[in-house]
Formats: sequence, structure tokens, C-alpha cells
Amino acid sequence: MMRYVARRLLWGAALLLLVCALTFVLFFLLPSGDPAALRAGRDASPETLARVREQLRLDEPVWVQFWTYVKGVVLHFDLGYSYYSSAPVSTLLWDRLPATIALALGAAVVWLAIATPIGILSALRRRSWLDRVFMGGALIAISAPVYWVGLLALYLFADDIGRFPLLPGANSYVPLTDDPGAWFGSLLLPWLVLAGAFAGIYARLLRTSLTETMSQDFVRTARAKGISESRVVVRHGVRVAITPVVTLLGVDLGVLLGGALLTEAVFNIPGIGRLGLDAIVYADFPVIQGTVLLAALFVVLANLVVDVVYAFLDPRVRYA
Amino acid sequence: MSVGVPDLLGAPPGGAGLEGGGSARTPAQLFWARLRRDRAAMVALAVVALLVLAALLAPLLVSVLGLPGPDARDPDALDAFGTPAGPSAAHPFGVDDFGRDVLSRTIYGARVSLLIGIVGTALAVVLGVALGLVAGWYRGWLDTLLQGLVDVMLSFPVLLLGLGIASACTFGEGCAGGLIQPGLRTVLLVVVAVGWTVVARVVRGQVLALREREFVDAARASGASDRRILIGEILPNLLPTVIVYSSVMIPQTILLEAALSFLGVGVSPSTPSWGSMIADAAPNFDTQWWYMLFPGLALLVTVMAFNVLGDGVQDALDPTTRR
Repeated sequence: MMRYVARRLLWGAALLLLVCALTFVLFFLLPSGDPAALRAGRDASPETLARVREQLRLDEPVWVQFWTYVKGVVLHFDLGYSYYSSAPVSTLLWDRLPATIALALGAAVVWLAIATPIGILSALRRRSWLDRVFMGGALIAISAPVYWVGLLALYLFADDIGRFPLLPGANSYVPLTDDPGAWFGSLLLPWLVLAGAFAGIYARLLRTSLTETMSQDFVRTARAKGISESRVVVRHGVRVAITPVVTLLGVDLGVLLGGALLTEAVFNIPGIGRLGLDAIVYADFPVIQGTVLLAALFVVLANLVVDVVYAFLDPRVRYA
Repeated sequence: MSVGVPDLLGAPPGGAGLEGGGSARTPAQLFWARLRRDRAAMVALAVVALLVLAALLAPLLVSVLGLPGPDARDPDALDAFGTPAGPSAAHPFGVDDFGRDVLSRTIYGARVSLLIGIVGTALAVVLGVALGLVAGWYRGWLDTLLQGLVDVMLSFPVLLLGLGIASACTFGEGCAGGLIQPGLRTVLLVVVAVGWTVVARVVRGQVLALREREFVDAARASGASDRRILIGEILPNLLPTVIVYSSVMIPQTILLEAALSFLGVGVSPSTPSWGSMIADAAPNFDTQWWYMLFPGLALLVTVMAFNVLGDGVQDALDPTTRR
């Protein structure tokens, strides 16, 4: 077991190093623009440009630049400085993290709360009108672009511009530590919108998985033993059927913690996603790179956690 | 043809597979027969066909409907303050900030969505299949390298990776020394870059299993070259998997293109695209709801049609799934 975990940890670290290399290529070598010109700002004098070039070590060979960058990231969590605001990228990321975590975790709670009962009911009443309505709704939810749903939700329900002013709209985010009540209210609409598409995916997945599980022999055995049907469904069916859902949840949370770009953009929530988007508008490559690296870190960690949990649950995985 | 009843006399000559109660039909015929029984999939197929037609014949359709072109500006549709007019007889979906007809632009927008969705997916699938075939067949360091690369690519969130590539290629004079210019080609690059990985991984797994089968031994024993075995023996067996993955990928690719356009790094702003139309509408959507609503509805209907069709294709290719 320890050997398996150690192997997975090593591979995770190697992955992050490779991601680092790829982002370096993507954001420092691919763009045709001159980083020094971007950092120095408009109409910089040749002397300033030369100084910036030296500061950024642009005169050194590419692999030395890369090594300096990796060393900074690994040893000091130093991701460089924003071209636009000159603030350290790590500080920018740290400031934006709480909003993104709140958005992602809250949405996950909402979509699980919606998808679990729908998935179970649909699987147990397959082909009933209830199932058809649920799956039709799920289909619409997974097909609608989240930013469009967000705009529609604001148009309908935002308390400033909405036709049915029910909930705080865009730009209303306040940090949890400032005012917990306002924080909760401001995130309600984003949570619902972000959770919509995921609820559709999870309901469909749980329905398929539970349908398959309920047709297996151990379920028939459980029924034959005379256990009540609700106990069969919950203890035998759902418990097994939930496995792929848990895997997906780990992966999705990893992705969302790296920034729910579109939702943050529509509701103007100051999270990692917005930071990355603004950085793209200003061609602020160190910040873009920082957000990409952080997002990749979350994805790698999420996969790691899922794999290790699996290895605990199922000994066969360890030797695969 | 009735299924489950022996129908040997009526069987078409030269059919390959023996399935469905003894009637000999090719796998393609079986697939089509199953798909045709799926009413939802048939409706979706009709919608997709209509959308493709509308995209191909956009200029004709727009003139038949008596609409101005997608770039024609109608100053009469804006009031003295430049506020655009909502839906009317002349402009059924209203006009945008420049007085351009929204219905006309929505029809033209289908071109970008379908082009990227279908061509982009096809390119990604071809690349994924090629790499997966080679890795699964030759194994060794090549396989290790590919697996590592797939792992790295999958560590990036799709949208962020796409945005990263698109922005690296959109600012300045394109990327890779001007080889990849901003616009359509950059979007295709993004779609292929994020799309090939899963296909390559799945195909590799299947090739690993297929290469141990008897028919491959038989082909090898009869002196077939690697190339001949890969293309003539292995590839046809991968077809169902490839079709399923393609049908799942098309709607996701359409959504990815729309999201990139929404975020301002998609195809060039002058080309009507549903994503960029929604983005243009965003600043004033509280008063000019029509400009936000209709491109979004078009996107929703298109993605839904492809999703339903994808579900149908999956069921038709794998009769063991129960829905």
C-alpha cells in the first residue's frame, strides 16, 4: 500500500514538473511578443527595456530561464510578478482562492443534493413519466452553456435588474469574513447556475450506474433474503452504484478549484478564474501561468486522492 | 425486417455478421436498424440535418426569409440614442448595437459552430486514433512517452488550456513564429489539442487487447505487414468505439468553441459566432434581451440535438446498455 501511494506521489510530482515545462513553453516561448516590452509597459525607453530584460533574465539561454523559474516555484512558491500590477503572482492567487473554493464547494453540495434523488428515482422508475421529465431536464441542463444560463438567471432573478428580483445579482460578492449573511446570499445564484449542468451529468450517471447495479445477482440475493426494498436500494444498490460518481466528483472538484472561469466571469466573482481571464486580457503571462499551474496542481491532487481512496477500497488496484 | 424471426431467405447476399435471429446483415445495417427504432435519435438526426443545411445554405436561407445579410447595418432599427429595436416584422429576432439583424447572424453563426464541432472533432479523433494505434501496437518507450503526454494534457483544465493556447496565439503576431494565426486556425488547434488525449488513451487500451486476438495471429502468419494489420485488421474493430467517442465529442467541442468566442479568443470578431454574439449582448442584456436569448437558444438546440444523437448512437452500437 505504502509503495503504491509513494509511486503515485512521485508520478504526481513528475507531472507537475512537466506541466510547468509545458506552460513555460506556452507562455514564454510561443507568443511572438517580447516579454520585456510587456513588462516595461508602453513607450519604454531602450534603457528601461534593457534593464527589464536583465531583471527577467531574458538574455540567458532558455533552459537556464526555465531552471530559474522551476527553482523559484518549488523552493519559494515564487511564481514571478504580474506584468500588469507588479504584485507577486502567489499573493494574487492566494487572495483569490477563498471565493473560488466557496463557489466550487457550494455548487458541489447543490448539484449532489439535486442529482442524487433524481438519479435514484429515475433508475428505480425507469421509463416512467417521472423518469422522462427528469432525464429531459438533465439533457437540457448538460446542453446549455453555463454563461448563457447565468445571464438568463440574472435577467430573471437578480435583485437589481431581474424581472422577479429574488436574489443578489452580479457584482454582489463580499468575503465571508466581512459579512457571512451577504456572502451566502451573493453566492446563491452562482451556486445554482454552476450546479445546473453538473446536476444533469451526475443524475444521468447515477441513473445508469444504479440501473446496472440493481440487475446484478447480489441485489437479487438481498431481495431473496427478505430485506425491505428501501434497504436493498440504499444499502446494496446505491452503495455500489455511487463509485463512479465519487470518481467524477473528485475530478470535477479538482477542475473547479482551478477556477470556474465562465461562472466567475458572468457573476463577476473575484476568484482564480476571473484572475486568469483578466490576465489574458492584459497579456499578463506570469499571472496566466500561475493560474494554469495552480489549476493543474488541483487536478493532479484530485486524481491522486481518488486513486489512493480507490486503492484503500479495492486491493486489486494496487497491483494494476 | 423483423428481428428475432429467422429470415434466411430474405437475407441480403454477402452480409457479414450473423446476428438478430439468423438474418445476415452487415454491422452497419444492424446499427442503422437499431438507430432507426430510437425515435428521439431520429428527431435529433433530423434537427442536425436541418442545421447543417441551414449552415451550408445560409445566404440562400437569409434571402428567402427576406432578411438583410449578417453584416448589413440598418440605421432605422436604432433610435436617436443608438438603442437597438427588439423583435419586429422586419427583424424577427431584433437587431444588435450596430443595427445588424440577429436572426441573420444566428443563421450564419451555425457555420462556425458546426464547422468547428464536426471538423475539429474529426481532426482530434484522427490524431488520437493514429497515436493510440501506434502506442498500443509498438508499446515500449513510444507508449510510455504517449501515456506521459496524455497525463500531462489531462492535468490542465480543458477551458484554461484552451484559453492559454488561444491567448498565446491571439496576441501579437500569432504563435510559433507566426505559423498559427489567430482566428479559426487557433480555435481548431485548441480543439484538437484538448480533444485527442482521451481518444488516444481509449484506442491504445483497445489495441493492447486486440493485438492478442487470434485473427491478428492469423494475419501475421499469412505474412501481413504491420501496416496492413493495423489498417486492415485492427482499425475496423476500433470503429464502434471511435464512432461513440466522436458523437460524444461533437457537442462538447461546439460548447468549447462557443465558450472561447464568449471569452473573446475565438474566431475573428467579424465572423458571427453564437458565443461571441452572447458576449456582445452581455453588457446590455437587461434591456436588450433578444440579442442574448436567440444565439443561446440556437446553441442549446444544436448541442441538445447532438447529445441525443450521441446517446442513440451509443445505444445502437452497444445493445447491452439498458435505458
